[in-house]
Amino acid sequence: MTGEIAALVTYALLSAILGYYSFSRISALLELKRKIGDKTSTVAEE
Amino acid sequence: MSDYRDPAVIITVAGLSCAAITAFLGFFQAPLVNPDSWNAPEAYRILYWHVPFAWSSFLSFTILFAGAVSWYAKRSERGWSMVVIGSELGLLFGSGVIISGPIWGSAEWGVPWDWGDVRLNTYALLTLVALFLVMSLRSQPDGEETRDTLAAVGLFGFILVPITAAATTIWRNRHPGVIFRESEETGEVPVDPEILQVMVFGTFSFMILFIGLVLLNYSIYNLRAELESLNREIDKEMTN
Repeated sequence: MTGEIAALVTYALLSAILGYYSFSRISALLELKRKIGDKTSTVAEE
Repeated sequence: MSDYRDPAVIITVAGLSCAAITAFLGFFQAPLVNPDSWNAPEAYRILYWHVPFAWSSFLSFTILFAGAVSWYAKRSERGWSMVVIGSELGLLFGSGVIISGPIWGSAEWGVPWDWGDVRLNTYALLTLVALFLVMSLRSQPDGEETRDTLAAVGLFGFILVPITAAATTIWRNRHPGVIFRESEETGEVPVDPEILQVMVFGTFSFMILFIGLVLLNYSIYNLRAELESLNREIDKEMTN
């Protein structure tokens, strides 16, 4: 493997890991906020 | 839409963007290292992310350690949340180091791993501790006993951090030493100033990303607890 290809492969892999993890956390946060919003309105209605 | 304006989301996205800029600068702005001193001078560009990944992983393990101490000392819920966050981020950044290191090693040394290098092996062990903790956190029922056991694993795992850091200078075999230290002979840092600038920008970027991910995970931890409490409240209302 040449140095340049090694660098490109590394950045591709690490970008995928960082991007996947960060955006899965962001979507988990937004999903939880949405669920809490729904539940809070359910509790308020009851 | 306003959820996207959450500070944790903004900081995380800013950190990711800065990390992407670091990669761009590493490829297109930073000069090549001296081809006479390196076997694969182009592969050195991997270090712009490899080094900040390693530092971020050490910070993660420090959070894990502080959380485990806090859990044992005060049975603090915040301490336990730090154990959970530290393990997860330790695994994330540790995996990045374990992936990028051997790729660079293959290009520079001709071999991906050196089983005789203390630093490589203690670091791999440290990442395995984080993997064990994350898998256990996801598979074991939450309770005091589980928390005690996993916090103990985290505490003992942290011993590997100073050993790994010291191994850079003491038992160094293949892994390069600290590159930002001033040379004893010339009193100067033996790195091109432009390379140093990109490296410092990379460190700054990953610190932003690290802070964003810690805040993001902390918010998720608290929101999960809030959701459980709301669910209990609704269940209680239903049974009454």
